[in-house]
Amino acid sequence: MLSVRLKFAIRSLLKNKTYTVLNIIGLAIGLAVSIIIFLYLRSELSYDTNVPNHKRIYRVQSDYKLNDEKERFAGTSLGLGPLLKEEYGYIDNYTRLHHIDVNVLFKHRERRFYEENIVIADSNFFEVFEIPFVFGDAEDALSKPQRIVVTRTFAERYFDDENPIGKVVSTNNHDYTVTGMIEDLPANTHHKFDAVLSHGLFFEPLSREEQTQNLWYTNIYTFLEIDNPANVERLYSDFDSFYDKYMQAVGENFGGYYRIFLTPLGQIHFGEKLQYDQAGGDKAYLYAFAAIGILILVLACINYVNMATARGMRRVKEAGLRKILGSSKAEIRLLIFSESLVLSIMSLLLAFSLVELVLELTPFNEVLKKDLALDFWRFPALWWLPLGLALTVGFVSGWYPAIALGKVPGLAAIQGGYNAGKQSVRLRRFLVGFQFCVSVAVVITALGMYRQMDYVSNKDLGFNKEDVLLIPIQDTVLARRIPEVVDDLKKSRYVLAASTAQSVPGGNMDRAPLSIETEDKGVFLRDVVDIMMVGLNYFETMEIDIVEGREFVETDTDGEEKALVVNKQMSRAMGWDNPIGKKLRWGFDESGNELFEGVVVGVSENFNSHSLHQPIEPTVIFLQEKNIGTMHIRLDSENLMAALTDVEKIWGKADPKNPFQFSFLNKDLMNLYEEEQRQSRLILYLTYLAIFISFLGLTGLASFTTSMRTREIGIRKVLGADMLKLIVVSVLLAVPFAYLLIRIWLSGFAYSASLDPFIFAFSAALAVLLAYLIVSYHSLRVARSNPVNTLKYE
Amino acid sequence: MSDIQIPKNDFTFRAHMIHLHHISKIYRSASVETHALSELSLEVKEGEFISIMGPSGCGKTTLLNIIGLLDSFDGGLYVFDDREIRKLSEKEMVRMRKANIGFVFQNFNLLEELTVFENIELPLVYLGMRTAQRHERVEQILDQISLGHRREHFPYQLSGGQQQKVAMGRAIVAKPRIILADEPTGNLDSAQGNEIMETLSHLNEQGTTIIMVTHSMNDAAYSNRIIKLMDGQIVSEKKLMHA
Repeated sequence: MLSVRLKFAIRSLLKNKTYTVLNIIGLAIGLAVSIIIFLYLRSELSYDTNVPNHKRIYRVQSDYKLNDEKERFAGTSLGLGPLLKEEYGYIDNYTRLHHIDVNVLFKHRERRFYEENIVIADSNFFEVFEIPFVFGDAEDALSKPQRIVVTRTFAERYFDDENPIGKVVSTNNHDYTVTGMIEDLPANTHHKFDAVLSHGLFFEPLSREEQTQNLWYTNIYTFLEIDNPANVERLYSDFDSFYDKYMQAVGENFGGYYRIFLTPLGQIHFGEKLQYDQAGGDKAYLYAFAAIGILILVLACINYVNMATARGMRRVKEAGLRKILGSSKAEIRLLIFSESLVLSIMSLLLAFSLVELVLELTPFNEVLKKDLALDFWRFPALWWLPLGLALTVGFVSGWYPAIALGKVPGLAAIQGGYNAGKQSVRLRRFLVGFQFCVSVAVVITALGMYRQMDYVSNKDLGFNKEDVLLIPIQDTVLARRIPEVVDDLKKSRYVLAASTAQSVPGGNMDRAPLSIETEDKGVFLRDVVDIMMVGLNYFETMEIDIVEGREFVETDTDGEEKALVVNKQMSRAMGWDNPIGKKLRWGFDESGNELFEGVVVGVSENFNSHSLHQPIEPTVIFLQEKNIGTMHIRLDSENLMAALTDVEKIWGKADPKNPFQFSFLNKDLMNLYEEEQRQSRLILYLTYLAIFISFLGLTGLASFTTSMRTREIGIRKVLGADMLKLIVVSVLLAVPFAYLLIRIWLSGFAYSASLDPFIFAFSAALAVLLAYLIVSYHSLRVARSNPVNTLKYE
Repeated sequence: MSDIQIPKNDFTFRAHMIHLHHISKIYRSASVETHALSELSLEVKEGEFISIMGPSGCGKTTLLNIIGLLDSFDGGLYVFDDREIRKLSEKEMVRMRKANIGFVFQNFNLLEELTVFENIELPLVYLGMRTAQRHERVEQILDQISLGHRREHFPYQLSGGQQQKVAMGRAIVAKPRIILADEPTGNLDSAQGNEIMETLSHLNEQGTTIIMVTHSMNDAAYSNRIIKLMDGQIVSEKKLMHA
């Protein structure tokens, strides 16, 4: 019986090939999107769960209060981990990790690659992070200096498929012996790396004195392994006495306090946004994607219901006949349901193929920085969830036609006196209208997001971000040599200007309390402002305009009164009419008196020292040569490669000990918006699909409507006017909806592109135009067909 | 209608397979009421061959549909095989129809996506018969209507006469006791029409009751009773004697 019914269902589907194909494709796309979004969400929501003992690992983070300003950092000091372990027996282990933020050049024989994701870790890193080793011994892989544990991809870059253990990779100054190989870390790893260097070079064992002295720093990620979760609370309360013992004296000195807080490894990525952290995720976006995925699935279901009811109307006669031949209501419904299920299962198979195609043959994963794959063994939910979904969709989309056709009175149906039409036509029109409304809203939102990303990459930041090479200055020895390096750099004809700064635009700025002279001479106001330490020629190097006064000159370095430059925002915030000559004081002693004084010598144009998510703050710029921080070098854009070679040579001479590491400012800045760029790309893909599905729906409805009205003479007029009215109304409804969506997204930016009415008008006009073309095509086809054929058919 | 009592002791009800007593059928639209049948009474004995004739709109098809349990009625009493139809649930009605009644239509009404074999098989599927049994029965019918060689053809590949033969095959495959035929030769040429009428006549000889709506005197001549309808009422009845 079942096989006969299945045969009937398949025959019926084959009878309406066009509808069937449109239905299957529409539904398959909907399902494929759902599967991909499921994989995406699954990956996003399982950050760091590849570490088998992730539940026992916590990251220690810093919670500061300085002059009533609260700051929370992802990092801690080098000394905190060892001291906590020493004090509290219930801490099972600790380990520390440092990301090298710039590219490091590694060599093995002829092969040279700049590596982006290199970290330095304690020797016990793999004791705490129990990541399985493919080769090597986790226990002593990092136990000595100049060792390296690599991922499979890293190893393959230098050694192909050979076992990498014992092989050597070199930077400019050091040789590292490979002591271990692990599989590539999954994309959903918060602290991601391609290789781990043993700690020797960067954090040599500190003396106890050093450990306690630097407890207020936040320069390293510290992880604790704590077996019993109750001990986390215990640590919080114990930390009070820790603070009293080691930190209180310093804290009282400058009116601050320090606390730690712990986040389980698996919760870091979507946890609180902290300073000095790796790029985190925002759950709100995940919900947005889930919503869009569901929306697309709903659109696909709507298409299915639309086409199925349309087909249903053509099948009224058949349903009537079946009833006459002895079929019961239930059997007719079963037939429709089995058809619907056959269709959804076929769609599911196609959907899996589509997903495989997208993940394996398109740059989808690369663009989204993901490693999504249809891994049925690892995620059994991958087959049963879509199957459940397909069956549900099949059931839901079969529901309306099944009920409607079940009710068809047998006789009237075959005599043509039964009109199942009116209600279902109204329903279909509503559904197509809804589809259009959603699609146009998605299109407008995507265009708005794109415009903002375009704005972000092209906005005048107040400085010229192009062609600026950044090189980290690793230590004070090197910092002392910087003036010579600058002199050497100036000799290269490819170097236009060079300077140093403690912080890089877009990076984390320091903030400090200052006493600032007001417009009333001698009257000072205390405030916390952004501060920057820069070298000579900084403004020239960054091409930041000085709007009043002057920039720093060499004589400023040894003048008694320190010279300062402030930004326009500072001048505006203070209400200064004449900023030049205003005094600022800082560095408070135990009784709160200022230790240093400086005078404003220039006002710079405002520039975005933070990302565009944040507004420009009042900023004071100090001259400080010999910065430990970052070298900024403006290169000749025509000869970048030659310039880079020159710089590398000069740098290698000044710093033979460390590998030459560099990055470009414009690329670093774009990394600030990486998350948004990925989101807007994903939204764009989804938009294409939403549009495609909606037009599939419209095509289905238009061709159906024309086929139902083949005898009408005024068909073009009727069809055109009807459909276009529907489309126009849906588009008008979509506009406010889209406006709301895009406003919400833009609220995350302090600076955003204006919402151009053109985007709305363009999307709306495009939708109406395309709809018009589709409808016209179908009307024309009917209008031009031979009337004899039409009548014969009727 | 509650005021109508079944005369329980009247043996004539048992002798008749179908008893229609004062049947009325009204079609209502927004402003107009049309009496398709008014107070029509008719008895049909098992094994009869009845032709129903009359002008268009006189209620022929409505009558056929009510007899075939395809349409409801507004007044009167319908007893089929001693069972009062109004008291049956929809399920029971479907079961009774499946077991007893076959239909033949003017425009054949075959399912386009099914082959000849499958079209004939369909009522047996709905009867829940086993596959082997079903196939055996369909083979018999194909032999009977001489269309065995066309078993895998689809309706559009057949001539009108062949399509009506398939429709006949489908109507008789479940061995119904009654065949209701609505102008079965209406869309056929005379030769094809005669062939169909011969088949119906042959079935009748084997005991199948046939009720046929027709405009053709020639077709009506195959039956043994002709009923003429006018405005929803029987206006004349004529018995025919065949040699």
